[in-house]
Amino acid sequence: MILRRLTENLRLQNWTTIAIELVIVIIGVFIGNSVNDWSQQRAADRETNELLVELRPEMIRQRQSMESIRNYLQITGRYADVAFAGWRRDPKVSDAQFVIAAYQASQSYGLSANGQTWAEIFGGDQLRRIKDSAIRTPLQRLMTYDYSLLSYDRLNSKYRNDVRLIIPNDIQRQIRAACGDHLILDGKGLGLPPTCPINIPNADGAATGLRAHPELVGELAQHESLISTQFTNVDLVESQIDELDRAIAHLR
Amino acid sequence: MILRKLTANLKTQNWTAVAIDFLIVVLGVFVGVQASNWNQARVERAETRRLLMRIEPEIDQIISFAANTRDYYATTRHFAETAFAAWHGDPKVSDNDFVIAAYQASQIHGLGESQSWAAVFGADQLRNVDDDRLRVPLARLMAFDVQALNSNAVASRYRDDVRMVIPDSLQQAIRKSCGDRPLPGDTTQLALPHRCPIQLDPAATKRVAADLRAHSELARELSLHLAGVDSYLNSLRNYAEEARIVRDRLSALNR
Repeated sequence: MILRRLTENLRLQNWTTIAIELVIVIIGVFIGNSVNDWSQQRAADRETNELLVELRPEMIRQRQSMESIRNYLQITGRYADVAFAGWRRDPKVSDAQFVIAAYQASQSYGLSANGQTWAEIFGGDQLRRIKDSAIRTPLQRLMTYDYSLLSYDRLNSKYRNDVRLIIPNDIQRQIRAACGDHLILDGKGLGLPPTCPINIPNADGAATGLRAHPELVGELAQHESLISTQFTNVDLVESQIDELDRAIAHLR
Repeated sequence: MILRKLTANLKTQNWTAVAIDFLIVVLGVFVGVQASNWNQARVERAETRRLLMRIEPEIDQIISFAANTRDYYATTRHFAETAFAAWHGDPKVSDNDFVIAAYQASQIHGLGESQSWAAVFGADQLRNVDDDRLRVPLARLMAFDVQALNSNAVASRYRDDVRMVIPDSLQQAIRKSCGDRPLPGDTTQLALPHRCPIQLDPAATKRVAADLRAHSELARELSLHLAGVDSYLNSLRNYAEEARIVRDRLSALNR
């Protein structure tokens, strides 16, 4: 009897309406989900653009870091020239200038952080959303670059160690106190004074000690070749920062 | 509409119609979600295809880097042969050419990356690559240890020692005229001039050439340096070969 009533009731239903209602629900759910996905995609694209714009301060900071590294190493290079002249016994270079230059030529500076900032700000998933290859390519290179190549460890050469074994500690401290590293760029970088006009009382003894070690001349030449490699690496990173900066200029 | 009908059916206790309305909602949501998932998977596969198209320039960059680096080290090897000849007393090699060759033989060039570009592509995307002939070499490329291709891998004792013997002024003169140059059109790569026809200070080169000859251990160190370069180039060849397979497969899929 129940089966008969059920059959009767089923026969009374308007199956066309039921089919239409089913299709309406399916389409409704599908459209609802699609709109939700589209909205999420739009929000993600907007976030990616915002992140690109927010990269600008980091780009400025990195650019300043690169410039400060270049300036710093150019100054140590000039001290190296004076030191070479001192070893050649150039009469224009006093003993004090020679000792100061030999020490200052061993000063080194590079990136202390591992440079992963790019990757931290801008994850791989964000990068994948960038459709413009003019933005994506330099950003990807900056994200994957080996920043240890710009680390100050790279200049921890034999010269740096050996010259500091020869110059007496009190003179090294005097040079560092008067002409050592100083903070620049609001504490985000280091600078080195281009000249160091201080009086060193017992400079002649230190200069004699340095001249007794002519192998330091070769070691300083090798140290300078490391610096030249640093310049090349700085140029490579700067070129990518500039390329990225030009590419995202229209987003600001 | 369904809600209005359902309420009306509940009021009239038309349970068959209520059950049918309930089934419409359950079945409708189920099929709708399935359709959305299918569409989502289709979109993801399309996105992966788009990403694969986008990595083509990077793949080309690897292949071009490998070709350029082979050329770079062919140049340093040529300089190394000149330096060896001078160490063996070949009178055809002048002191000037000896000093330049000894320096240029120590020049190195590497990839400069801490992680593979493929890390940026993402392992999750790799799973969406249906084509085995693309996915497998792409996975190998993504897993490649790119740090083995950095310049550190070819920084040798010869490089350090020869630069302690050649004075800074001569090194600077060589670097200025014949040092690394950005490759035209690609600032991320370096090239080294095949020849270095400059004339250094004759008195200085005579003295330095004598110093280089006095350090005969440098010839052995140069042999070791070249062995390291060969080993580096082998790794690079493997990397570039994987890149070439990926590029060929991508090109075939695009056709």
